[in-house]
Amino acid sequence: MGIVCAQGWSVEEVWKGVLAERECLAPVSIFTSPRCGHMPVAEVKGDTAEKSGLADGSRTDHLAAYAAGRAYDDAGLDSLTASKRSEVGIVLGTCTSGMIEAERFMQKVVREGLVDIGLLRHHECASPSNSVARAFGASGFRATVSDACASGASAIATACDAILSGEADVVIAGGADSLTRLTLNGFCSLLNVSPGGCRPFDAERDGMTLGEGAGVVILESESHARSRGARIRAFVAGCGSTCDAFHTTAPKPDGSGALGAMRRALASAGMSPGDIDYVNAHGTGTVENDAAEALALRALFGDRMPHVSSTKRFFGHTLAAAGAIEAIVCVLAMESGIAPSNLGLRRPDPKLGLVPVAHGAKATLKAAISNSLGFGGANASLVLTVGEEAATDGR
Amino acid sequence: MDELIETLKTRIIESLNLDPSVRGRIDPAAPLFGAGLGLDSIDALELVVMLEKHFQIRITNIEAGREAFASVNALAEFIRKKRGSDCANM
Amino acid sequence: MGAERGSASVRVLGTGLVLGDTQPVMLEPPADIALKRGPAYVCATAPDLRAVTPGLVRRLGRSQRMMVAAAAQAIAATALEPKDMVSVAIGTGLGMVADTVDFLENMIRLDEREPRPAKFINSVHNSAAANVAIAFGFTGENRTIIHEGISFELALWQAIRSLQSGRSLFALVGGVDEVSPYIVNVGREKGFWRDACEKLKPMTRPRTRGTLPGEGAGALLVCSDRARIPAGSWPIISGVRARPLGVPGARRLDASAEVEFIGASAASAGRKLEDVDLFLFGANGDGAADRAYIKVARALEPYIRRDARIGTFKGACGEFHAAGAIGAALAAQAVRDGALPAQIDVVRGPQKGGRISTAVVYSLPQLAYHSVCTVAL
Repeated sequence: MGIVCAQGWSVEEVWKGVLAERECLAPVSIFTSPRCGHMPVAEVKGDTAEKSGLADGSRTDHLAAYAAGRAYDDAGLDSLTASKRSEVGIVLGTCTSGMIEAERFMQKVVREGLVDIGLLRHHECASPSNSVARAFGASGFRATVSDACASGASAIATACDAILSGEADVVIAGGADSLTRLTLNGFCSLLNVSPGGCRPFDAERDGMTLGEGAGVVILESESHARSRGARIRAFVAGCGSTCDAFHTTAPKPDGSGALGAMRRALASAGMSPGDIDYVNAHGTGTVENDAAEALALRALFGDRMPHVSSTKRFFGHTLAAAGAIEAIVCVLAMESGIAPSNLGLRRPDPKLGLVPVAHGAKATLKAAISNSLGFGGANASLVLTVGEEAATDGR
Repeated sequence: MDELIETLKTRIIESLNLDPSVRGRIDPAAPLFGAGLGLDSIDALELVVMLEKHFQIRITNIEAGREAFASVNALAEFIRKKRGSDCANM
Repeated sequence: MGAERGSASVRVLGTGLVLGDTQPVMLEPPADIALKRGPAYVCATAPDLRAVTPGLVRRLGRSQRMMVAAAAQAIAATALEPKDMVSVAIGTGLGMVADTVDFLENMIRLDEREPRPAKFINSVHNSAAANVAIAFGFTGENRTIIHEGISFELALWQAIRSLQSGRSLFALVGGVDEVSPYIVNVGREKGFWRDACEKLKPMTRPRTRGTLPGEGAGALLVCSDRARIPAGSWPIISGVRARPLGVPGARRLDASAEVEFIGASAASAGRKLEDVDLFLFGANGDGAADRAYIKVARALEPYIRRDARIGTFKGACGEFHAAGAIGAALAAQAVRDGALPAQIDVVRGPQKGGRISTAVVYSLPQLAYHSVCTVAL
């Protein structure tokens, strides 16, 4: 697993921040936004280009390549033969890709009448996947998913499909997105952004907080992982996807889309709601999302609600990275036996009938659900189960 | 007041990309959203921008918008009140 | 999850195509932006969707309109129930580029003073797939793939996976891209386009430099063998594969490996290369790319029948990442009707006559990927 986000540049650092309930929100500094520059966001600190190891690329490419590199090392993929390494698949999600650079391109076109092509070199959505492919010499199955806020989870689901259908034994999967003027202005124009930072499921919640980052996991078929004695940190037991087919941005208020995604994920895992110990909710902190998602959770779990929290205030809403970062959070929660806090919660909204984890709750967590409910009504749910110790017989 | 209503009808049609022929169907007292013109929450956001652009009134939360956009009459009343007061923000 | 290497048949129940005139036109940029005019294949009119989605129409961007219209054609003849077992998978190379550009241009020009919420929402890349779902009430899986010249083919692969694993009974698979003055200008700077405003004739003039940008939407309605479908013979679609080329570029293209790649796809439908009636190539008229296709065509020659055809289709729609959707829809139409659609230009084999019951669509997008699929009755 590999991560980069406002909380830091490693899985360890990020989890430390989560346990310490560290706040990382501040106004954006990587660009100037006259209208929205005062809004708190969760920005990655540090030189993304230098840390990525890439010779060029957009900010999103840097984030993706960095996280992919950490995940690659964590999974010990260097021990694969050169030929196997070239067959590694890549499925990443992104919404913004090279948008920061495209904004500079547009600035020059509109203000100076110049067409500066170089700024669009890494604009297309395929760029993060292709950048990672070049960095690791991978020429196997490759795809880029762009399902809005569900992209990271969808990418993991598509990667599972690739493995189960025999297209690849190993897939680098996840998502990456950078902060951009476009998304900041866009979400602000929807009157969706919280001036004080998101408070998911809170009675006084007033909107979302944007973030940036990348989350990458190395997915592997079980037989391949066992045959090389890989340490299995978790299993993707099931995936489920639905579409609200209701409105391009507002979720279906009855939560049926989210409920359907969770049910499908459980069915594909051959599990039932009672098996789940923790839910990492999408929980953006908007009035509508949290209300719909809470309805879905109550319909699924009834009065046997597992630990639930939204971790969006820790990292911001990292768009395509969210599904992947939050899947990683589920794995860390299971490994450490701590359900992370719903940071920002002061008073749970009584109308939602949901009491999220206020402060890190110690518990045995063997199975988790991670939800990503995107624009366009694209809902993706993952069921993750606890992994195993590494094989020690030297296979 | 009539002039403001007529101006608002024009602005609404323009900013929401409605067919000009609906002008005759806009009843200033009737609800703007839901049935009738079939406007939705995205249209409300476009009207927020319209208000800022043409009337220099800025709405920063959706609840305030809900009252203002109840009907064309409500919108006209909202604008007159804002113009009458000193603050331009909600 | 169990391992599912399904080989259950996937059938094509319907197709949809939204194309403009087959002659490119000169595209004019907005007056106050520093761009130049240039030739492009343009959909002559944005499709009239009032019968399909009266409420949404006024806000849909061009990509979304084209995709919803193509989808409407593809599903017209089939009763699709239950709606939560209908999935949507769309491939688009550049996403919702026009609305993105509009929002961005406006944001920069006015220093963020008057944002355009509807444009922002349309600019989210999965909005074509979302609008298809909303227009027809499809609450199953919804996936948008944006990966250059294999976007559509990957969406098709994803849809077939969903069908074969039992997660859907039907899938609406589509591909769409739109052209804009930015695409004309940026592509010109990168050396993709030619200057002449002329119809493309791929694989006939391998010295020509450059192709022309185009736009359009193609859609297939496919189903698994568990779906209840109307009686009739429905073509199967199989052997879908889309991968990066191990070594990009025309010069080192391994033509015999490509022949094997094509043959494997046909074999998945139980066909040999000599059974294939139509090979539909994604050649786009640019000399370097054409030479690669010609190399493959020559390598195929010993294995195919004298009356087999090799044809191209980008003369009807121009070049865009998701154009494979046009090829797939045309191939499915050819097999369903048994005859060659007018949009296909034959470069090898008889122009007229003969039955078409097996077609293979093959493409070398950007000379960096290869993709293939087989449609057979």
